[in-house]
Amino acid sequence: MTDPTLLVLTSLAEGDKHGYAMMEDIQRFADVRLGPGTLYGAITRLEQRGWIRPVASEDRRQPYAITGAGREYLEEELGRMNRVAKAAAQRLKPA
Amino acid sequence: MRGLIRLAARLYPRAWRRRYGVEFAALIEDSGFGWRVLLDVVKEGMAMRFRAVDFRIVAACVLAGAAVAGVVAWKTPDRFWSTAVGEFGAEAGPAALEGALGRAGLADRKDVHIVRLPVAGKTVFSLRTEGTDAGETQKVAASMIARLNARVLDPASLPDGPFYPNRPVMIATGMAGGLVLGGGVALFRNARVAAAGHG
Repeated sequence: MTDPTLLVLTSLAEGDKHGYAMMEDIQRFADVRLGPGTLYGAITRLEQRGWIRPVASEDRRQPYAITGAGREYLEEELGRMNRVAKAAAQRLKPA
Repeated sequence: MRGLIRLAARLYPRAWRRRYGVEFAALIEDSGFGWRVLLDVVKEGMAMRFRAVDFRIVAACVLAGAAVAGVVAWKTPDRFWSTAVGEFGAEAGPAALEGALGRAGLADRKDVHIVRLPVAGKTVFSLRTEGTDAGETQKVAASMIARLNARVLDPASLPDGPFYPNRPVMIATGMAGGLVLGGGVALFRNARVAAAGHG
């Protein structure tokens, strides 16, 4: 899974985070280092779709939270990926 | 590097910078000012500009460019050239060609191109004429070389086809022009919309 939008949603599924915290978290769980441009491109798309929202903050580092629709989308995508992974694993088994 | 990255951040659309600029700058500071960060910022900035372009405008301009160039190409008359090669022997002297051109009244003609060919001891030359009809152009070249009273080494050629206009190149140029114009118009329109949103 290297789609930045899914990585961001997965990171936010654990709790609210600002950009740099997401970058660090994504590197930990997916071993993928997103650049600031890529990360904010994903954040922009996710916010436009209503899957994440900014959380009130006094800091320049704006935290974001996953929305209900975002969580729903992430669950659907995970289900689809699980089905693909199961099919691939079964087909790779020796006959 | 810090200055370059800040400059690259200006690639992002103005409306986007108004919304995300402060937090994006904070993230860049946290990420450090390296080459990878610069490349990533540039890549996404270009992608955002590209995604914001209204491709209907670009496509319309490309089609309009192709149509205009097509009409111009269609209206431009074909031009042909015919070439003949002649020779003056050594006995005629080194100024034989210039003298013959003067006597034939061809010395100052803009529609006749004479090129002296490098052959030792002789005056060998090629004569080329241009015209809008293949057969007529060949006849003109043949009559001109006859007026020079030179020995004809290669008679006036019948043109295989027009040397001008190159219609595919003209249409491709029109499309390229439309692409540049369309891209410019689309980006200008985005800037106007962003400015109106700001005001």
